[in-house]
Amino acid sequence: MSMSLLGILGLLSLMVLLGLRFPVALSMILVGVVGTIAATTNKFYLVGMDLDKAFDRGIRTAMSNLSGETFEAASNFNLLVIPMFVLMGNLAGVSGMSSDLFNAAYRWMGHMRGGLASATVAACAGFAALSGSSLAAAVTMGRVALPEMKKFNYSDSLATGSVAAGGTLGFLIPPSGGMIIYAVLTEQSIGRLFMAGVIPGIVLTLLFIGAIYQTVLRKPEVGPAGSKAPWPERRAALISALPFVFVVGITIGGMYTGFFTPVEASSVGALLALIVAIMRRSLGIKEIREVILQTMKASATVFLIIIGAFVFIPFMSITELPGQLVTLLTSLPIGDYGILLIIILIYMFLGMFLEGIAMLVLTIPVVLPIIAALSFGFDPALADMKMIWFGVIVVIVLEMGMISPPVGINVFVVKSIANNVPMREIFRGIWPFWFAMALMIVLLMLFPRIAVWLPMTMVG
Amino acid sequence: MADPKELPFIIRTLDKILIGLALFGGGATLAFMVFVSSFNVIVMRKALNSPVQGVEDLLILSLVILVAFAIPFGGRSGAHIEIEIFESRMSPKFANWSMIVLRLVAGALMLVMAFQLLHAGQMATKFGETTQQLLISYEPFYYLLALGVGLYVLVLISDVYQLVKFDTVRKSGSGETS
Repeated sequence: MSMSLLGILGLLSLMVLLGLRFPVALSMILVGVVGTIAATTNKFYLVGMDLDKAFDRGIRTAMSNLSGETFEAASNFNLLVIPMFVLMGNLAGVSGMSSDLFNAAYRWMGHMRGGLASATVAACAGFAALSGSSLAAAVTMGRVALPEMKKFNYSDSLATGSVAAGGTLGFLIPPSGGMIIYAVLTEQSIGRLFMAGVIPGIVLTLLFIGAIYQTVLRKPEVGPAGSKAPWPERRAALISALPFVFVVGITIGGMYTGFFTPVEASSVGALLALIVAIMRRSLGIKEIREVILQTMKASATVFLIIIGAFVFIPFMSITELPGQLVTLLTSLPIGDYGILLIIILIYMFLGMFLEGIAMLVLTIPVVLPIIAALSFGFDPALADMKMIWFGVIVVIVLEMGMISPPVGINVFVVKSIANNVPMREIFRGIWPFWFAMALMIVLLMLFPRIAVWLPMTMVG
Repeated sequence: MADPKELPFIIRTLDKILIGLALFGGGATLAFMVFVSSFNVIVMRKALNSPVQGVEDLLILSLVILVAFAIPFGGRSGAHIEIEIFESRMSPKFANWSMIVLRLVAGALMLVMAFQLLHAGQMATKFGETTQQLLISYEPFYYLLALGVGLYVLVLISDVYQLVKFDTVRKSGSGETS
């Protein structure tokens, strides 16, 4: 049997297991182990080894991979940023920094038409800088912002759409969980990927606000203006948001200036968030329990899936399927950007059904060699920057999946907070934001420096 | 729907162990990581220009401990991502039985992983698998990871029991069902 056929069978088996609701990580481990046995056996059998000996070699290779890759993932120093940044986000949530952010944005923008929705998006972007989770951003901001928007008679679609879309910024703005996993799978610098997400994150936030403005321009009744906050209130709201500026400034600024490595920044960020929470007396026994268990739960999600990817990737490498795909795609007369467009469209399609992190680990082993083989006009000396630029594009496409029907995960999260709003109403509200993300991808394709300028200028 | 009181003593005990490990073991590990790493970078490296040798090793080993505690707790609290695309199209009976079969397969797979981790642990010292600076052997940490994966096997078995008996799995600590 050809190696490529084995690879295709492996991918099909993976899809069947996922369809049967087998956990993503375990599906990858199972297909990785069985596939490695089959592919290694096949490889040695094809060069003339006895079937028994070839099978024995296959078993030994797969078992060695299983324990070795599992320990490799669990002891990867760079992955220390995951529990630390998750902890920082959870502490920021209980310390009230998230509601301070919304309050500040609300006081300054709430009096404009659609201002509350814009304030929600801005606060989501701010919270994203404290937490690498899009779900946490959507849940935290949704709880604060949705009742306010209801009070001011915002349409359900605009209110829920802005929370669902704003939440996705957590996947792009550092410390982004998506970026960490992309960095580990592609062996890129976590710090540079974080920096690459900053400007696109800000531009996307502005595009979201533009989408809200466009919506209320067409239908003013969907986002009526709130009351204008007096200046002392605005000033007080800004002052109460200062701890946020302090924590984010030190962690993100520390990484940019080379003062901290990403791992150091993550632990210092968690410490600062802890200090803020203690100073605000918001850490009781119940909150500490919640913070620890939520951090452990999120760490479990990410680590098991990374272990799955680590076991699955060697199988893909043995089958040489990614290499075959590179040959196939690069032979098409559509140019680098044509191939990129195909990849983006495939991601958009998969995003309708798959969860973001799962999609990332499932596709990167196949897609990465294709991107590595193309130039996109990048200087060969800047090959790392090309991978970083692609990482930002992938993360934004994954964000689109988080709000795409039928299984946009952020939409379901918002639905769990806004029980009385029908799903179709929430999905109707996400389209302006979906197109804003598509526009962001076009901008990144036209002007790659939006993503790579900051990582190119960072120290260290 | 399953009432926690209906769950056998052994599953309730397993829940308590997993939450205890995640809460106290995980909490202590997280605190250690935050304080040691921050102290080393802010005080020792930046202020005194004298970083503590081997801190990176301790942090790596802490991460292994954290992962070992997190995986079984994640399994019990519904942290491991599943994709629910076709479930609405399946008959409830088929969906239930497929989950039972797949959890048994997953249990067997995790058992193999736990065994391989134990085996690798036995070889770790022999092959010189240690941390880079303090030369701490990885052996006990392989065993700990094997224990974590082994506990996850018990979680999967308890899921199978609940699926057979109640057609649903009650998640730990949240009261949710799947």
